[in-house]
Amino acid sequence: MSMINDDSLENLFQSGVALLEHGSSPAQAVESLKLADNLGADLKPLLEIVDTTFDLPRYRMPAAAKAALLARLNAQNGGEAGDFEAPLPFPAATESLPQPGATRPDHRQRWNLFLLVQQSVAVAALLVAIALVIFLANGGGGNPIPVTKPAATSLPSPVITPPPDSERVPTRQTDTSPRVDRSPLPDPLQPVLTVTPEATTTVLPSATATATDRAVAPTPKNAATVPPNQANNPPGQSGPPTQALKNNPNPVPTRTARTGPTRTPPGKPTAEDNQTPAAPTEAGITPPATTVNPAPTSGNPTGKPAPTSNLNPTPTPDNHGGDNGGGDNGGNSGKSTKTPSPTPAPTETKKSGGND
Amino acid sequence: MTDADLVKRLQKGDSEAVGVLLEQYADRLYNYAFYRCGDHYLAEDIVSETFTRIIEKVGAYEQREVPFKAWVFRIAHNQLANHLRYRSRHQAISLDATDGEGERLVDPPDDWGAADGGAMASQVADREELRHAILQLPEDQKIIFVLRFIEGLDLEEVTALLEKSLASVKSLQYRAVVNLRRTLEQTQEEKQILRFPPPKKPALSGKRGKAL
Repeated sequence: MSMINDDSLENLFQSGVALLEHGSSPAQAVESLKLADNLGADLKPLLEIVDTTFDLPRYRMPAAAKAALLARLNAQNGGEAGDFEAPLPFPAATESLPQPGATRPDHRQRWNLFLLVQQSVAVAALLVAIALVIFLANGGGGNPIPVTKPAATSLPSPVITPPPDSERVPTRQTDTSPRVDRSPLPDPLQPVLTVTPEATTTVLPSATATATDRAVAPTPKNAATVPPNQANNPPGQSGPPTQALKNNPNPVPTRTARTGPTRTPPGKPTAEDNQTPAAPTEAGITPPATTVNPAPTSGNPTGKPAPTSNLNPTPTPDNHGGDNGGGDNGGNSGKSTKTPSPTPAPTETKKSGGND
Repeated sequence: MTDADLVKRLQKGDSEAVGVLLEQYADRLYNYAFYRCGDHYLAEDIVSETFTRIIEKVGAYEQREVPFKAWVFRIAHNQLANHLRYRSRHQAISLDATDGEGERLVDPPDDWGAADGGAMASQVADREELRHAILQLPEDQKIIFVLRFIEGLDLEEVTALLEKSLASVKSLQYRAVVNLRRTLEQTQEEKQILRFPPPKKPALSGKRGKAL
């Protein structure tokens, strides 16, 4: 029953709403529908609500907001209709007017020019970079052999080359026989060593030290025996002439100074050491007096025999050999000298020595 | 100017047509939006966005699809739906969004100056209650109720606007009115309770008498 009543009430409501929309009041609508009392009692409040709704206040948009909205919409509408063309206020001959785009600069040419410049700059920068890389790869304008310039005192001046007329100089020998190392230093070197007496003196005690400590110091070498040592030196050891050379009145650019002072700590054989036979070692212990003179330069890149053995009392047995340069020994001697050395040179020479 | 003429002029970019459009629909859309959301500022935003969309879309509008009035209200309806959905998600309540902000910009009813001030006051109170009750309606019922009885759209326009069947629209408007009646009755009951509060407990008076 209630469902039926609801359906009929809804239909009556729709009819009543239609009457209200035509201007009838709720009471008139109920009367015109000729409803029963109960249905009329249920329908009348609903129609009154609708009738009251018709009388609800209507809200208006604020005038200011409306004006602002109108201005915005006009702008928007005008922007969309952008093809508007206003007539010129004066007569104009179309022939005299420039064509559209005639005065416009050609942006494409400018753009191409910009690209060309940019590309050329990039290529130039690339070439410079390549050149720099090649330059650095080739040694950067001469080996930077920073081989710390040894102090004047520490300069293993003896490293200095033998006189050019010496026979051994031009040849680089690869013979690493220990006999060669033991050979006494050549006489021609002595005058050279005397040129820098300080260095020689400083080196001397160090050499003895190594000899005593490790029985490594080589015997005084002959100039002839030196070359084999040179051969053992890797090319990397070759360095610029030491400062001693500068002071040396006989400026034969030998790089022994670099290799000479360096000495790997005992027990740490370097690659260089490995290359050279250990043979020359113990027998090579040389008395200090003798060691003063010779400094067989092992690192002489020029292949000139540089008698360094004394100044760089080379081949310590620990080092596995060789002479690797006197530089090693020199460094070693600097460290381990037991006999007081008049100058701290050995240490300095060690520094200057070179791992270079 | 009919809606068809207005549309043609709008499609041609006539600036005067924009003014006419605004004059015809701005207040109606504003009223509709306010009864839907109860927020004057949001109603302004809705109207602004609606007209912006109208200007953008009027070029593609074809008269045969939907009556222009229904088309305009549909745009407003969609804008409102977006705003209300956003608001419901973020639960952001504007400090200015008050239902009872006052009768700002209200058209006074015809009987505003009636001699019987008491009757008019009661009518205003009833209308205010009704407005609050409308805001409490479910959305689908509220939309149809506002469109039908506040904006005065006929059933065909509402069905075209909402793309619903005529039966469903009728059913929704009937249920909306029934719900309003129920809400108003509850409000009246609460008012009665406030006017005639329950009598004080006699125990209190007895104690007080004894003390005295």
